Amino acid sequence: MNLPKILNYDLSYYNRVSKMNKKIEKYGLLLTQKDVAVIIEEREHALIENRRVELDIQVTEQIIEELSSSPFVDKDNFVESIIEMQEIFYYIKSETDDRINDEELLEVLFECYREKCRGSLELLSGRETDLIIRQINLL
Amino acid sequence: MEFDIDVLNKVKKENINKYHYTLSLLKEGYRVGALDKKRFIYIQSQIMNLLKKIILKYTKKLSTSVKTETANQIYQSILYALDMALSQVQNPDESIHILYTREIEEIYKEGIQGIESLFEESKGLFETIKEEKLNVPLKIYNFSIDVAIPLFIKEYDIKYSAQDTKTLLDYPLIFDDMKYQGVVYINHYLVHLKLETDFIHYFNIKDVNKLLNNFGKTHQIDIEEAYFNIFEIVFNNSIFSVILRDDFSNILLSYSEYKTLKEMFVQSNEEELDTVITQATDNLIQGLDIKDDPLINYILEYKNTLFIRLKNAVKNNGLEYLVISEKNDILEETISFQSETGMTDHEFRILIDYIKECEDIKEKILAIKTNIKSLTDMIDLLSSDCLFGNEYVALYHELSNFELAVLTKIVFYEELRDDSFTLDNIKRKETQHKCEEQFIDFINKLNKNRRNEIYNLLNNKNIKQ
Repeated sequence: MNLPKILNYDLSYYNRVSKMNKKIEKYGLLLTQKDVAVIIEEREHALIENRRVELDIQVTEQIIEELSSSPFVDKDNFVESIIEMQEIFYYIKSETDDRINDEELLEVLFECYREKCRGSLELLSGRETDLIIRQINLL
Repeated sequence: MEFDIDVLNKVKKENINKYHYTLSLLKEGYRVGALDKKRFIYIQSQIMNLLKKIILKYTKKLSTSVKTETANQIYQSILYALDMALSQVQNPDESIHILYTREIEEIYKEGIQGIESLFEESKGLFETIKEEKLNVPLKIYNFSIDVAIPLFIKEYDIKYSAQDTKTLLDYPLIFDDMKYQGVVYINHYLVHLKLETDFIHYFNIKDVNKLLNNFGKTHQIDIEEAYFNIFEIVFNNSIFSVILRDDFSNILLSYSEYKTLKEMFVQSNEEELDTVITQATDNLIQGLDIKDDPLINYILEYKNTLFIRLKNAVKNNGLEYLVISEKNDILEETISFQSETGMTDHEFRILIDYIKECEDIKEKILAIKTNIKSLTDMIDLLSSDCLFGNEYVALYHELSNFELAVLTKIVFYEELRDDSFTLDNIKRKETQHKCEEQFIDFINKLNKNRRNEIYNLLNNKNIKQ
């Protein structure tokens, strides 16, 4: 039984991500149909890479909402940032054996992204991700 | 679509896998047309919905994702619960009917109740087994009861991992179906362990331990560390005891009794062996007054295995490994270095002078056998240069295995510190007395069986000093 294939995608996801445009338009951002498709596809890819199954797309919705209000994001790097943040999120979830829940991890990640990395996803995905994993695993 | 009850007649029981019951029922139900495509897909989607619901319970709704491995584990656990519920009905036809008419979550809940009930029953059974635990030194047996089963009881996870056994139950049982999983496996294990323990309790535990020691000596194993089943050793010897002397309570056989049995078995054909084992089994059940039907069935099932083993042992000349006899008997028959006090110096000098002057080798050997009764005298004699060339070999030929083992222990004192040392192809040492050189040549020329017998005696406590 290929559970990732069955569980990681739902027909409603496309609409749900598209509807995020209502929330982010106030920041001058917009997700095109192609952007939505890429984000969903890359989410599935990140889940498979990190040997995970997900029953909902609310993490992606929260990442979109959080990044849209960030001063470090503009229309040129928005989609790329969403994709990168999804990858980091699932990587940490698996590397920490789910010791941290979704809300807490998103909070830690975005605080680090804003305060320590000053919007640099390169910094976040490297040394800082390792530090976060180490701290969580020590708890 | 109306359920067509008649198509259930087409269900082939051989297509139903008892270890993967639900999946094989779905497949077979679909094959015979009892479940149409729509229902088949509906059932699968119900299972997936249930999986999602249970994953969210598992994460306490605090995470929307889990590792694929965890999802698979929960999925298998759901199937395990469905298997439990569906296998409780009388036959596969009825199970397929249930899949057609009832909701998956409802069947799942019944399965969980069935697992809980079997788990409770297993815990009760284990309490009895603990009380009846055998006082034997086998580490693997003690570990299974003291550690492995309690660990299973402590860790068993009915909701999310019901199919996992999650413990190391290494003590081997006669009948142990390892394709079963989770509590079903443990329950089968405990039921069989209890039957085997009940049987062993018909005999004196001191005799059981003595028998196990004899088994260890025969197979050259340390029984504390070894991996073997106690029931079969006790049962085999109880049957042999019944065959030999109609004695139901004694499981210990002397070496001479073993030889009598060997003679009897070697002269019997397969049919006769089968008859003798069957009759002895029936007599044993009656003689011990065994009334418990499951135990009787267990014994009768094992009896067939014993017959095959006996047949093979006769064919391969391996009876001594099946019919376990008391090894002390061998010593009683052969030991002759039994005197603590040897000859006086004067007596010894007279003997040496006589041997040196005597020309007839047979007379020399006779004089030695008559006068030498202690190990010290034998060693002094061998190093006194009163024998020449073949005379040493002639003397060694007169010694029993036990006496040869004593000499082996002395000659190879250093070498025996190395666990890998055996009596096969021993090399001569550089600075040796000729009695030692001759002894090495003599041992090398012995057949492998006799060398093994001597080697086995080296571990005997009587010659450890």
